[in-house]
Amino acid sequence: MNTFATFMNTLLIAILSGVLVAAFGVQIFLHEQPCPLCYLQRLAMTGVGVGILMNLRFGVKTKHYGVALLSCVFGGLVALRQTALHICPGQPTFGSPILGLDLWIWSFLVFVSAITYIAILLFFYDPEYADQKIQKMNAFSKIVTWIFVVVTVGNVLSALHSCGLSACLE
Amino acid sequence: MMAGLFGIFLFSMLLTWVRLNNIAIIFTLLNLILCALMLFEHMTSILNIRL
Repeated sequence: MNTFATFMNTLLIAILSGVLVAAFGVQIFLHEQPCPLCYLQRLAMTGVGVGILMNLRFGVKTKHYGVALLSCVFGGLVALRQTALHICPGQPTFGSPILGLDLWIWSFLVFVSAITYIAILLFFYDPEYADQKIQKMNAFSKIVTWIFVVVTVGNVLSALHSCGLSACLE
Repeated sequence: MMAGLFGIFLFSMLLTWVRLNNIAIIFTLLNLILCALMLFEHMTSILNIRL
């Protein structure tokens, strides 16, 4: 895999990890427990990261980008659904806004940005590098991957703490 | 349940790590379908619709 694609894919995982860490920050420091739709949006961001992680491990392939794009579309749908729940004037809102926008609006922007980002990366897709060989990850990729894994483990623990083993639909 | 969905993504990452590329993709897509079912369940329960 060429270094440009490696760097851009790693950067996307780093950005997604940052967003998920920020969500943890809101949860821990502002004491706002995530709602079920918030968890679904976090799940979609994790799905995007898993698709991109496959690029880092197995080389850039269109099916990996497909997994990431499907996760983006799903996450965007969930964010739109949550927006629709609160769009009418006078409806009670959920959580405190960040920089004037609610968190689900930010989430929608993240998914739209990720779709745009992946579409731009697809312009640079080169089948020459799409071999099945296992890729050797550089130090930056390894660090970002481990951060992403730790954030996902944190989400498992957070979901267990908030919902236990139930469907978490209340 | 929600923790289980995150757990399946972790499992997909593990499969990626142990070089089972296609199986990891299948698990990830199945997990996305489960997530979509969760969204559908949320949408129907909030409207008090029971199928």
